[in-house]
Amino acid sequence: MKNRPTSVDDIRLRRLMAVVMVLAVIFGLRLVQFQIVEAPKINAESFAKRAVTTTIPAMRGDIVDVHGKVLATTVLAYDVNVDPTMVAPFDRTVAGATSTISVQQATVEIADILKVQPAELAPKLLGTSHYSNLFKQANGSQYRRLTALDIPWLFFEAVPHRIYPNGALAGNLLGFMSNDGRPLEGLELAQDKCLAGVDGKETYERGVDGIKIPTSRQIAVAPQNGGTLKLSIDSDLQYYAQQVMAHYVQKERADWGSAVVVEAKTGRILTAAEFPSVDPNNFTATPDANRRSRIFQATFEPGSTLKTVTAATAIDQGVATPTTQVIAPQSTFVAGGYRISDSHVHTTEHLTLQGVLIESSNTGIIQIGKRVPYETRFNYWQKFGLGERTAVNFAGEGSGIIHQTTDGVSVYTTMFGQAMTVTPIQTAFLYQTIANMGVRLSPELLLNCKSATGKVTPAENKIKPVRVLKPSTARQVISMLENDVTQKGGVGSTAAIPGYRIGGKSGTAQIAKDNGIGYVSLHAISFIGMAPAEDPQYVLAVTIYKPRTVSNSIGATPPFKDILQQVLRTYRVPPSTTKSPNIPAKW
Amino acid sequence: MSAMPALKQSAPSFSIIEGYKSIPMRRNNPRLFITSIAILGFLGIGVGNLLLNIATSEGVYQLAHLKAEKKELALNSEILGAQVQSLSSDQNLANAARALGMQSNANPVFLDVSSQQVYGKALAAVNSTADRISSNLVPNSLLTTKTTANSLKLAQDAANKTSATANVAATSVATGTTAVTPSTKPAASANSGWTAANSGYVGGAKSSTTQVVSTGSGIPAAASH
Repeated sequence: MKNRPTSVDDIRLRRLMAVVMVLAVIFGLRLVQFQIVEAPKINAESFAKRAVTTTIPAMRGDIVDVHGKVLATTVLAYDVNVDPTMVAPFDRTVAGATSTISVQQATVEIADILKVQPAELAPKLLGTSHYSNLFKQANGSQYRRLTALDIPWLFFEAVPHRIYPNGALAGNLLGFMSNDGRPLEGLELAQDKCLAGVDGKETYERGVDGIKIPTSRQIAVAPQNGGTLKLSIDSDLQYYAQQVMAHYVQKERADWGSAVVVEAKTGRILTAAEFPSVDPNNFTATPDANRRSRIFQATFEPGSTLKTVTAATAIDQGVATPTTQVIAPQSTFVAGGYRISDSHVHTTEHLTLQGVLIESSNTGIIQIGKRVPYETRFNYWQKFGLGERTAVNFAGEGSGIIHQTTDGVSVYTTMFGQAMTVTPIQTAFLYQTIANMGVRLSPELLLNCKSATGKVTPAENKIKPVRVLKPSTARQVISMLENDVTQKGGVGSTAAIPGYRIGGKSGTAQIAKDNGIGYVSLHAISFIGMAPAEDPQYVLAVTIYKPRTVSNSIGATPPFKDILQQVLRTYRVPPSTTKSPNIPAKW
Repeated sequence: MSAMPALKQSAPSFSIIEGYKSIPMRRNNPRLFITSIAILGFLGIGVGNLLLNIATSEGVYQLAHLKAEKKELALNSEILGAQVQSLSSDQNLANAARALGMQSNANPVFLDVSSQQVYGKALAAVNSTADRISSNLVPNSLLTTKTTANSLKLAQDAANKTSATANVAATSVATGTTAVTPSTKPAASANSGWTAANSGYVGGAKSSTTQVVSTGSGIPAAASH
């Protein structure tokens, strides 16, 4: 049989076949190009057209007090948006009856729920864009009522919203967040690593009706919620202390006041109350200067509360005892021709070191203090934790200033708390050291951070306990602080609480002028003490800055007494069964 | 080959033409049997797949519905949670205590049971010479939910009722009513856990506030706390 074409038809058939073959090859190549070479790109384009990606916001963790009471938490709030191009009257059916709702009426209904004026909303409904924000962060109740209005041009977007159920309670510690969810101050800022979560995302393909296509490719990254930060703060006590400080600061027309309660044997900060205090829910209502924590940030000269440290140093060095005798004149001259005076007018007195503390005599304490070299006293200050930030490492915390070397007069003025600065938290831990028999503990404000998966990690670095004073020294100093309260004549006697042995020391510190030369006429008054003195459990440091109706520390003892009574009630401390030792104040 | 001999053949009566040959149909033709099974199998799989797809699609809609319901319940939980937190805030409790006539005594007295001794000087709070703090000085802009003296009384009444009240409360909450405790109008009509009042619209009129008064046992508003 021959292969050559034998007829015209055969030739035509073969040509047709050739054309078909060529086309098949072309189509085949094109197919390879689409299906293999460009497949990933085309698939991606196609997927992008059908796919929707939504961010699943992670919820920021709570901040809770020592009992687990929520101080800060995150809820969903709802941004209310409209599509102005769709704004028009619409029909609403209620109980079978349909009525047309005008735009104006709908606006009034929305405004009523959001508690704004309709006139504020009206301009936002106009325009040619498809998006206009009417209101940010409506709460759940408002959201529900708005959705019930069934307005076809109203849209909602759920956004995490930070709330502080107790308002300004511990507000200065907690800090606050910006409206767009950034931490701005306080623990919110410093502990962001614990509190912040990681947003998740979900991508899926959807049909025309917006419902997910069942067998479609889906990508989901689950959000990781933030951890729960547990504080050492006892919120009930904190509330009480804030109430008291708010009352006295306003009564004495002071700039600000603070009260710190520390558990002497653990270093836990049970209360860090301040007035003014910011309400983090509405921080813009508080002037900028009052939005932070002065307990950790404000530095000032401590004044006479530091005499306790000078006395303790001298006793610890073995150069004085509580009954060491000095002659304290009204004023005396020291090196460089400087004159040092007592704040109250008196004749020359024969005082013991105990009497020096009761009378808070400057001329008396310098006679005790100068028995210890300045360098040694500086070393003690360091061991007491002065001149450095505490281990809490609060956002913007102050370190205070102590000078390693000094000129002539500062050698003396530092003995009664001038020419050096401290923060309220540092002063509280000066007395915690004494109350804890000479061992300074690491301040503990943050107990732990519990992650969303339940893993608990310590939230802060603690320093090792520092032995500052011998136990015998601490015991003698506590006894002197007790006599400061039990004996008549000094401010301390106004801090006495019947039934309890209380120890404490007053301070009326001068405030340096802004230019550093000289002092202003107003003072920083304070009273720091502990209870029960036979076995100190709690330390309380009260400071009131620039009071205008009182000029000395007599203004600090009423809040001290009030708060300390509440501390004793709260922790059910039984009344003392022993009496305070009596140390002679004069000779 | 003529047609006549073929006509004389008695069986089979049917034949399949394949090319130029006819294949006799046999009852137990294995190839036909396998082919039939395969076709039926494919058809079965196709129909099954179709049914599964329909079922899945319905499931997806059901899932979407359940998700919406879950969202609604979460919203309920959130609204109620916010209320509980607001009601249990120190500011609200202090206000509630004051509304009941309670006052903090700045001159507390301590009793030592073992020695039967009284420490401190007993003074009635109202006669105390010490400073008395009689108002809330710690601001809380979130305090929209307040306990009033009247609502406390209602809470105590409600707490004495049977657990049926609690069931009503649960049902009421699940239907998604808004919960706001009015501070100015302590809802005298509130006699169950959660009572809806003025909900919805009347002829498209301006919306009246949907109010649910929290007086039930679910809210810790009792003065004994």
